[in-house]
Amino acid sequence: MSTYKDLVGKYVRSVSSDPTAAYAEGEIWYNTTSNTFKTAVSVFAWSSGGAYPVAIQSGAGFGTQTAAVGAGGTPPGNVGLKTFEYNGSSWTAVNNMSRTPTGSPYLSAYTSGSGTLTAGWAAGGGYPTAVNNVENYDGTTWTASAVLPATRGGGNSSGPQTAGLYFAGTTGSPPRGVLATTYEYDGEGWTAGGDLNTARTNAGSTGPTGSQTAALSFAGNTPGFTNKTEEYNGSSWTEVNAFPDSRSYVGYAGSQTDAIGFSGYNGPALTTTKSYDGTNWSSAPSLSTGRLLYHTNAGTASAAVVFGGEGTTVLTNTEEFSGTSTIQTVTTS
Amino acid sequence: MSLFIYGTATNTGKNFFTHQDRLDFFLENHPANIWVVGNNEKGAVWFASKGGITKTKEEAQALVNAEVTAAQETWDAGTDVEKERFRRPSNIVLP
Repeated sequence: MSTYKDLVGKYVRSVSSDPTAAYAEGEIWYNTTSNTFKTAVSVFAWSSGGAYPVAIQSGAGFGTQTAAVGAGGTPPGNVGLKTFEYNGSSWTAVNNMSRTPTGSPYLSAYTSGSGTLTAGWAAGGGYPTAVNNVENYDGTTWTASAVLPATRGGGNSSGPQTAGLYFAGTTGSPPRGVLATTYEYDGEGWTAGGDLNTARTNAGSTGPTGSQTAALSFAGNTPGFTNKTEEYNGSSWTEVNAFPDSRSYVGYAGSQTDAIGFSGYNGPALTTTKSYDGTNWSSAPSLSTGRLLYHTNAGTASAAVVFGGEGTTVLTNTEEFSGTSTIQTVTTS
Repeated sequence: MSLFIYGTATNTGKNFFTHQDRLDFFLENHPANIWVVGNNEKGAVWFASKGGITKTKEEAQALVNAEVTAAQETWDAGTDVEKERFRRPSNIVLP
């Protein structure tokens, strides 16, 4: 039988007062004042963030919870090629995306993005006909990069600017066939990757925290709702444990071994969140506002941010997912 | 005592509801600025501190229904292009 020392590398210590929760996370100790065993755990919840400056249905979201970027999207009269940066509290307008022709109202519709605030990228999109535009963002300026090998809308961008992936989505022109293709991006050009087992669009993914050798695709439209989850290893996709329900327009953040999927749609707009540990999906705290999401999210599984989306109307409100360390008494019941 | 407080309040952005608020009481936001708040002491204090205007459940549901119906009628009258871009808003039943 394993002991606590075998597992953790130290004995259960006895203390008269609790340690600081943030430094004791995962540890068990005995409090000699209360005569109880205690532990510190992370408790997650969604809280309100600073509202996006304009109502936004779709658009590229990337970066972190305290250094995020929102770019382009729809409705065109609201967002067009506009870009905003988030500092964890409020959004600030910065330079527009560089796509041309600038007068095309839906040029940045249904695009997706990944990377960081100072090394981001956005690919695909366009409506009613998709585009193959790709742009890199350096924290100040958008610069046109090598175009996608084919026009794409509704697909996922994941990973850093110099080692990214663009996968799934649609051909972007009616009739819009859903796709299984994967393209790998090095910041300057594209090569073909392995195809998903299930073609899909409006799906969840690993977003900025993914990598070219460890990405995730879950849920989406096939065109019906799906719950299928797949992992990418750099060359091929493997189907793994399914998302707990079938939904599309799902929000996402995190890595292949620590991800969350949230909100979306399978009739009503959803608030529920599911977390993935690399093997299994489980329930996590819900957002306050149900919404369909078209990539307007950023961050990690423990520090995510979502902005806008489609509810009964197109939304501006922002929510942040984060954890705080709290001390709990260990009981046997 | 009912499980929830129903009413309207305007989301002012950052810290309108905090991480701790979400741990302390149930909270849902619906169309027409309707909030459904867990009816405990902390939920009641939060709702009052946000200038919330209390409604009965029936009044709150009626406000939600009016906004959803208007959005559905707008969607129904839209072009095929507009219908492709947006999903028809679903009816919402408050908890």
